[in-house]
Amino acid sequence: MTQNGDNLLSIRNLTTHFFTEQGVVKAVQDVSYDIARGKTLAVVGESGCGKSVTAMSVMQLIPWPPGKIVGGEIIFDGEALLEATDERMREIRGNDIAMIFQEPMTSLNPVFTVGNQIVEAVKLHQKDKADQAWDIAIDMMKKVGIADPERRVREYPHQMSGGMRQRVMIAMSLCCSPSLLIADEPTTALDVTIQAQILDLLRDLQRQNGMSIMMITHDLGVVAENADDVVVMYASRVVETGTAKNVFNNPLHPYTQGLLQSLPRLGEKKERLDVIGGNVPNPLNFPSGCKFHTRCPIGCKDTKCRTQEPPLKEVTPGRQVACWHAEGYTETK
Amino acid sequence: MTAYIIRRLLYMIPIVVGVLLITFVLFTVIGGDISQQIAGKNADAETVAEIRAEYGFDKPYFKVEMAPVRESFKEDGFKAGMKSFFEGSQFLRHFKNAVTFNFGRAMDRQKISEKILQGVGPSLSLTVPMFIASLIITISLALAVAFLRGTAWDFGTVVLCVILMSVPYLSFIIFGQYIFAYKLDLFPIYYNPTEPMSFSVILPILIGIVASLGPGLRFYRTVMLDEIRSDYVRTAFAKGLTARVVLFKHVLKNAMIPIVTNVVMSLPRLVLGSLLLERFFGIPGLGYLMVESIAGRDFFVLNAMTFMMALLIVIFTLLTDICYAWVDPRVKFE
Repeated sequence: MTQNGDNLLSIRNLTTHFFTEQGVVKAVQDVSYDIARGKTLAVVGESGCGKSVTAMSVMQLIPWPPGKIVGGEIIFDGEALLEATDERMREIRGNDIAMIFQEPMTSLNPVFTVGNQIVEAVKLHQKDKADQAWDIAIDMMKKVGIADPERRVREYPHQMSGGMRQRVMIAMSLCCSPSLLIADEPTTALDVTIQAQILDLLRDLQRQNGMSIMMITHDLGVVAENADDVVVMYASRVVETGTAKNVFNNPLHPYTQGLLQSLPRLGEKKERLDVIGGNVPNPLNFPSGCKFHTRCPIGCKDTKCRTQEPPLKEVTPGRQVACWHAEGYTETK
Repeated sequence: MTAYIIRRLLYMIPIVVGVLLITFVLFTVIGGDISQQIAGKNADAETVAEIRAEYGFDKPYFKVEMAPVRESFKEDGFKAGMKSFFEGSQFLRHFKNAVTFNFGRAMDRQKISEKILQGVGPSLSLTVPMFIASLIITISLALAVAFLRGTAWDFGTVVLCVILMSVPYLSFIIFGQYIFAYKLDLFPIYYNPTEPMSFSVILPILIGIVASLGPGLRFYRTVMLDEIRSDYVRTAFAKGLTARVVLFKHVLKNAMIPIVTNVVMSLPRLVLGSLLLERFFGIPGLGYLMVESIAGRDFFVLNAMTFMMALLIVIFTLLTDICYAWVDPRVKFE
């Protein structure tokens, strides 16, 4: 991870809890990472590991009740977001930080035309351009590769395919030229050919606008192709960070190693794919010590792993890991 | 769209015939020949026979004697022929009366259509303001409560709704009338024909609003909650919209679909009026007329009211379906 101070977004010790009837769900605990300007950061992890909640915390769209950010700092472009007023947050949302979601089929409002929904964002954040809003919407739709935008701008979401709707979502999020785009599993609900198109599109748009992207995904293929940096999360915590290249070539945390091993490789003959044994722990009742110890080939035998949680530490410049047994991990550092 | 409406209007024909058959069986077959009752105890046989002829009780239920009808066509022309055909059996007469909205005379010898027209005004002046006010109040509150879901406000409102729903409608009327009209003397207890209607309907309107608050608020809260959990709401917030715009633009437009169903389907009841409120406050609307007719066993009025109600429901159901297309772009008429 770049430490040169040119970070667009810095998350420091973020902790978000959900106060449910069954108990407190510690969805995000002590999470820290940075996103460099103009780069793509991939946040990887299994479902329920807290990656989406982290993103929603950045947007401050955690529904209260039951969810609440209970600690930490979020610094965006030098501004402490958690101290910002509601009004300031609304200015930032959609204008400086935009977000696209996993479910293109349901993320658009079914009773308004797609143009109407894009125009709404333009009119909200760029009041001086309000009279050109429809032109901007058509222009954006052209940019995201929608053919015949003059006609489609007047269509309703149900008249479009999933891929088209996700393009509309992207057009909507980019119409105010945000400096950070949070893409929460943008391609998970789409079929593979559309996935590639959408990712290419995001990459092109990033090159044109110089924006940063926080790409939340569980698809390691997406990470390898698109990300500059990687954050691996497991059970509400960050367990490993580094550049995509380093993490893929030399995974330090046993969880990351397991994830990479479970990928099918071309030319390899296997009856079954490798899996990480066990289940994702219940967030209401995380295991003691290192949260991965119940599924870890090393940790399950080690008393220290079972009782003490390893903090995230830098092992080599730009490389952080949270594992007592990781190469180069010392307790003093 | 036009083709759809025409088809739906044609579908109404079998429904209306079915309704007429049921009301005929209920009021004429089961009700029986009541000419003696209308004529009074001391009437002579001649008067009874006259009344029997006027109401058509001397005719068979269904089967028409065709011979006199044919003769009438031949001798007096088409119009008179049709008339004698439709008067040939009790059911055809019942059918003709309903379709031409000519329901004849009530037991007190006043024309039924006149009675109904007289009642519509007072009924509407009570139910329309009551309905509109309670609709605006319940929908706005439901939006607010749905937005505050899970908080003490939400919980308190739900509890209050359940309490309001558990109180019988009659209690609202009796206590409201006792406290505000009798004890505090703020409103008239009973409608006085020398005073304007608008003054007399205020208290019943207020009582009606309070009584509808419980069930209405709970229904609309559920509708709003379903919508507020949708993904498009999250998208709208992520755009930077204020809660007010998200609720009143995005959520409300989507919630219009169940709201329209509920609203349009309750419109026929507006015309019919409120049975209890009109009765207790002496407002001479259709509800009052209905209660009076039941008490006086006036089958002719009841028959007319039942038919009108059924007709209104059929028409408003069609209106609901047309309104769907207006609120939901996904609805297309094939």
